[in-house]
Amino acid sequence: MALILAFALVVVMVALGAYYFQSPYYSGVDRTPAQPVPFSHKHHVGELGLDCRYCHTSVQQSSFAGVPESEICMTCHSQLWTNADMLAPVRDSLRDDEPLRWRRVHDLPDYVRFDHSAHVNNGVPCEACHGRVDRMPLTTQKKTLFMQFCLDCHRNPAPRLRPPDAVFEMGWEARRGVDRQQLGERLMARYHTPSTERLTDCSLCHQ
Amino acid sequence: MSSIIAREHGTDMAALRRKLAGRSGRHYWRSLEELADSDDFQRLLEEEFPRLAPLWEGRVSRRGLLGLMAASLALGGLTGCKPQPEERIAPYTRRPEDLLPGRARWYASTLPLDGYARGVLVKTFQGRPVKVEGNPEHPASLGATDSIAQAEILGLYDPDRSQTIRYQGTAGSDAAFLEQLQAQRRHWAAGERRLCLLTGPLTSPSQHALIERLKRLYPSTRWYRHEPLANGAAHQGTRQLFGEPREARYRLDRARVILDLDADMLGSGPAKLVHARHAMGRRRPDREDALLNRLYSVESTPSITGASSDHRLPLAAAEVPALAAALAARLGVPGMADQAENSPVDPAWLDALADDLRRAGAEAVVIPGDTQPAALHALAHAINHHLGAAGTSVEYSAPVAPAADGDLADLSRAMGEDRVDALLMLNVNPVYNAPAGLAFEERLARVPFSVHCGQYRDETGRAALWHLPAAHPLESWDDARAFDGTVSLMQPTIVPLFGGYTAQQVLAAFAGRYRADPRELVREHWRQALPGADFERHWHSALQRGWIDGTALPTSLPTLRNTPPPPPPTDRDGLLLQWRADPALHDGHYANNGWLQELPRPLTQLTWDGAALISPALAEREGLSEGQRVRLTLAGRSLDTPVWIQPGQPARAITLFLGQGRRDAGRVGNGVGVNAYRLMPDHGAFAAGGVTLEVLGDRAALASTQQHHNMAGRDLLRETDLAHFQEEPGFAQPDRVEEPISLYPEWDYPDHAWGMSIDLNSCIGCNACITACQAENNIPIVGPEEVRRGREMHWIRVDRYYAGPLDDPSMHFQPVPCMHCEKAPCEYVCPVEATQHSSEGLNEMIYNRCVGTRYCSQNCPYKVRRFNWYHYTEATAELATPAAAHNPDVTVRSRGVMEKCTYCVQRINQAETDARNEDRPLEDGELRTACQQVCPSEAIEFGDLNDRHSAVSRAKASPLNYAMLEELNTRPRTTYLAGVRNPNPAIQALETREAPA
Repeated sequence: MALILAFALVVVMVALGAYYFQSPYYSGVDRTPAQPVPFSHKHHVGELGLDCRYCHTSVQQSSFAGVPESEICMTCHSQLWTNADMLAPVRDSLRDDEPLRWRRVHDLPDYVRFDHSAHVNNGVPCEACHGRVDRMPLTTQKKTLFMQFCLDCHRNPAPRLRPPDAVFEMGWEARRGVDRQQLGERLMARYHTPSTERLTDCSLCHQ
Repeated sequence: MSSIIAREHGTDMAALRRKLAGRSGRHYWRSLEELADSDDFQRLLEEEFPRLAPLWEGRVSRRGLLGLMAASLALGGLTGCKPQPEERIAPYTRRPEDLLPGRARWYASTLPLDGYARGVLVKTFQGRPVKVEGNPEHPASLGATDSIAQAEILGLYDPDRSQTIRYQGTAGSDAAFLEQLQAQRRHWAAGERRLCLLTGPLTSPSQHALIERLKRLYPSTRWYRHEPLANGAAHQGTRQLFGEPREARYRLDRARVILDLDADMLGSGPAKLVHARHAMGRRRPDREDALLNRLYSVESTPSITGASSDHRLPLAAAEVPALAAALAARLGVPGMADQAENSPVDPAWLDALADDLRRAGAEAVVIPGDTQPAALHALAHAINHHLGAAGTSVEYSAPVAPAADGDLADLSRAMGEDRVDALLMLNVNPVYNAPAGLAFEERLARVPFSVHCGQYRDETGRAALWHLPAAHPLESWDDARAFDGTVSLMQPTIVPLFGGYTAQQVLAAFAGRYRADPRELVREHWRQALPGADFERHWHSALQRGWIDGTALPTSLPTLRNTPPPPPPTDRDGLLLQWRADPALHDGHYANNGWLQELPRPLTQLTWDGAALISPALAEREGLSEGQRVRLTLAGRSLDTPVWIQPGQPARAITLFLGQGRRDAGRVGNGVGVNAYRLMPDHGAFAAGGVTLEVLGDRAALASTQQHHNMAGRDLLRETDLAHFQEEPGFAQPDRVEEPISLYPEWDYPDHAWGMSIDLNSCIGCNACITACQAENNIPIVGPEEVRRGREMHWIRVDRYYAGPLDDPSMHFQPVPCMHCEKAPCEYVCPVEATQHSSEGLNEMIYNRCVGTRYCSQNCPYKVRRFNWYHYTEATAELATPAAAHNPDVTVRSRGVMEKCTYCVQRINQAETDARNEDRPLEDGELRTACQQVCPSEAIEFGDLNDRHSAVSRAKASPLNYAMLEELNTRPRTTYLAGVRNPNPAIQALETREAPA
């Protein structure tokens, strides 16, 4: 009896653990941190059609995509909504030379190296990790960003790869009738995507 | 060695000598203990982590242990289960042009040492300097740097640096200082009071111009120069010979026979990096176009130069001039004929050397040491002139540093006579490093207005009336001349962290220009000094390169005006005390730098506390063993210090290293070692006779790493002489018919296969790679106690081997990083797969998986794995590296995690990403590891083994290529090129004749 109870306890513990680690509380999925300015990607990307790179300027050259400087916000907002209360922190920031302090939405552990440029220059779209930001009034984490999530793609990149002109597009789909896997494999050849062995080397991301 | 084996009795030298004499063939040994092969040594070998057992104090029962483990899991393990803490991102308000967050930017700048420039490139991340590399275009760097330049990053962020102006020890303000200065200036201008300046050995043209300006404004001003590590003998000697002081510049790329007379040309002096590149560049016996050189060293203290020489002769410092004179006589230098019989060494040896020099003629060169007297410099240059080397392998220019009005002794005298009313001490620390006989500290108290400006509130900063914080070279606008006179510009890579002032700002303030812009002060000088209308463009291109083109001093052939003076008479008996700069701490300025304190010094492998070097013969006579404390007394002053028995030390010479024993260096450097400057005679000579040695009752536990990671006398180092190599080119390779089979699977490397080759011919054992690796890979400092336990964290070590007799062994170096084995023993034993084989051939170490079983380290035959016994990197750790100094591309490891060389995987990943982003293949040579990049003699090659034409593939095709412990069939990726020495057959014949006796 005691043995069965102990076994049941272990099973419950494991199940609880598994539930905990998959829970949004732990993974952060659907987390929408409050920001100093309630910036809407839905408005800027979905409705106005701004390119990602207009604000995330270093995404093609650096590991860090870049969070827009106050100056970039003010290129438009010195003309539009110049007195909106909502934008006061941005105006103050530029006036006082005091940076805005955004809350990080997509946060990888410190022992992980992630390079934006290596992905967007090689056919991995923004959407693959950030989801449909063009539908987000406030920026929300949509993927777990667990190692399993990274490995799904690193083990088989083909289905997610896009042609260069579609990397920054939201909701892009291959033309009807095109085999996604085959297209992906053609793109891999074009991008000189490293071998799966290389893409799953531990030290590629843990250095 | 005493670090690990505590020895109660003196070493039995006689037994060691018998042991060595009884051996045939080549035998290498690392320490006297290894040679003695005592029981203690055997025990040490058997333990993976020696000295661990004594740490296990309390007795823990089985139940207690389980309880502890459960508690550790609950308290430690579960911390990993909570979500990550929230992070903030603060973007720029306005982004600086061309700055991309997350990408490194490089600035050309200059780091001075002893006033001489070394051109560097500084790597910064968003305005934060994190790494220093050599500037490949700079004439004094050629792309290389040394340990001290590497460690400047740690020095920059040192929290012990001075942060405020101080007046009589309490916080002052710049307004109060300027008010007092204003009042003083009126007295100086009126000629009522005298201002004196004391600077280090500066070469900066803009600082010199400001000093000249001060002297014009206040005509009674005197400028004194304090060089703790030089005595002006080089200029004095050339003046005796040529009638004017000349600065010698050695062209070792043109020299075939090089004689180093106590100069340590590879390990000291402003041109050491260039010397190493040029001299070692001609030591590639396996190349078709090899132009081999031959290097002779006569030295009073074993140095890396002597260790790398083909012939090394130990000789007490005081006898070196006599040897040079006897050599000059043999070569027929005019006026020296009567010196021929006066040789302090075997005349046959000297005859052979003279013949070799004579044969080389213009391709020979004699290099005198800066710690030697002027007479030796005169003799050496007379020989150079006589051989016809002047103009080819040695060139002469005007002195690089401008002449001052006097030295520290002159200033001290003036202070004693109350002729100094005001004193500005700029980046010098004479209270610490003045010889005791000058009574500098007492005399400084008599100066009414004394101002010290330095990076630390050091001994002098505390004694002076005013102390001003100085900016670090990485925070400053400045300039300096390289060894050849090339003007190098220094530009800041960060705003002064603690509000320090540049030397120009302080000098300008003394001239009446308060709060001047440091950039403008340097620019103004060059706007006047650089002719032409296009100043802005010229200035910008110079800043970008790091140096101003065409500013090297012109060379000319000086005419011989006098014959060299006879060498000063010396007695040939009695103990002789010698002083040398500490190879890491230099003159003591770097004492608060943990990377340098923990750097194993070449040859002794001592870290932290220093020791006086004594010869095995002296140890035998006095019954001394390593770590024994002795009292050295010279001219009424004495110093208590432990001793270190150094094979190859001249029998009667005792060497003390300068730079230790700081009282007010900071938390890291205070009280480490003893201050050897205190014993120095007043006149600044670096050797003195008449010393007495008294054995004290106690011993010191020294932290030497020479016995750590010992591999029990296996055949690790391979080297031979040229004749043997020519006879049997493949001597280093095993005679094996077929590849041994392995049970483990073969690997397939579709993309790249990284590999490394280390050339034992070129390695000079300078240890720069150790510090470069430490800076690149966020390697922690562990402190002396942990080093004594064998827990230093350096990923690359440089093993030093001796071969041959105790009193005059040959010395060899072998850098040992991770071998990245093809069949890696570490990979198979990890229970959690924290160490893996990558698709490019690296043994990866995955820190976040490691649970610290240490099986991998136990199974590693090369002993290259390091374990974090404590949380060395925690911000509250005693010797923690400031977080700002960390490389953001490398994970900072925590307690309980194994780590080791990664072949700089962060550089590999970055280079591959960059190439792929630009859609091009990765070029050979584009990617370099930190140890490879810093190496002055280019001993390390790294690259892709899949590319048959890469430099590393070519190196591995050499007949000299061999793998360490290849019999284990681990198939290491890091291999070595065996050493080949090029001895003089005539001297070899002498040695074999002596050997049987």
